[in-house]
Amino acid sequence: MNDDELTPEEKREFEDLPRQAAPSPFLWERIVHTLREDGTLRSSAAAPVRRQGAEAGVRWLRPWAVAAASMAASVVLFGSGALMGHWMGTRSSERAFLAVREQDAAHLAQRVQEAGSAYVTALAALGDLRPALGQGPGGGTAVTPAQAVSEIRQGREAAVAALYGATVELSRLAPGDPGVSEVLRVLEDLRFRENGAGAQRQQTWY
Amino acid sequence: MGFAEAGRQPSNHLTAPDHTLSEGRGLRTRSVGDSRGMPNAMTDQPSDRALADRVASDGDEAAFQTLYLRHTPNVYRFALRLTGGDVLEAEDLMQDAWINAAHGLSRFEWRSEFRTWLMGIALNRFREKARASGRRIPTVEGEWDVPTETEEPGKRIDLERAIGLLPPGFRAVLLLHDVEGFTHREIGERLGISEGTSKSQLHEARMAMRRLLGAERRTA
Repeated sequence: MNDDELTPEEKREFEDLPRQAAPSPFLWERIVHTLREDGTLRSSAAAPVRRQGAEAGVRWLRPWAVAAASMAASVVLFGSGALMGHWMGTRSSERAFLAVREQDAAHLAQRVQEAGSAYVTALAALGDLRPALGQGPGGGTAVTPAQAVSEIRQGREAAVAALYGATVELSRLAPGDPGVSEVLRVLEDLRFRENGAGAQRQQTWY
Repeated sequence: MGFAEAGRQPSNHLTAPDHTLSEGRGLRTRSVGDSRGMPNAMTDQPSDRALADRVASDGDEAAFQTLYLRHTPNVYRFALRLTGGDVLEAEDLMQDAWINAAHGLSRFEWRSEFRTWLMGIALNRFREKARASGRRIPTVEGEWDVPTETEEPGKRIDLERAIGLLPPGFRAVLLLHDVEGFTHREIGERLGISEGTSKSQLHEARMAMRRLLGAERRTA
């Protein structure tokens, strides 16, 4: 074999590599938000993109509802992302907390989007682990299936707790919003069921 | 949804587009239309150049969205490989690349395909970030810290993982040449090295990759 050339087998392997991947949907939001802010894009020319495969009869929400929903989603994702990051042990929550507190609104909005990406990505990765558990020790993972199941359960609990905490903050941000109240009620019920009758309904966040 | 339909309904909110995925097999995928702005007769899709002109002249967000949907899946995969699979870093690269591209559309001379240009911007940002963080990307033969085996001897790895284990500079040359199909001259221009250096680095990168994959084949 000539070391300077790929073998036919190697060529095939390279050609078989996937050519595409999907980033998180928050990437688009971050980009278009920045470009709108600096005047490169005009939002009036925007097209609402319907998700492919969605039903034809989808109706677009009114602007106030969209704004409220966006705000709610952002706050929920921010809190969730922060807690997930804490759980994963990749950052000091204290440091992250101080860093967030010191930022202005524009940076905070960006942090919300970044945290949202991290949160969704981490959860998606956890979800991807589940099918691999049946492969046993030879399935390419260093942890045992029992360990993985335990860690996935921890991740899920952290994710729900994060959603709950973020929704509490959201209810402070938008008091009286019936949608937020409903989400909060559902999450409280879920936590109450999972943690038993002794579960605390008040939580100190950080 | 057709482009014309997309342009009819204004919106003030951010709507994340879906990324339609497919598994490409060729070394290079062609952009829709050609670099002179002619639409593709088979698909009747607007060309990259026509879309870029609308973004540059009118700030047309729908046109930008079409470009984004068309090119992000490919360039994001490249960014993912470039960063060794770091999703957050890859998304940051993509964000910077698209923002820089949008700002520079009016100066783009269309001597290359749009995707190639976008990929080059992402690559430049990767190198800038590496420099800023003190992670110098070696460009001279002999400066490489090449892994000789996986962290866990005997553990099976695939080509994707082997690429991710290569030092960043090796990875960049290998990706550009063997995955994306760039010539040594193009790689040299983008990385600021000579064609000869690009060739020698590709040789070293392939040897390192074979050493990594060899561990797999010996234990398979």
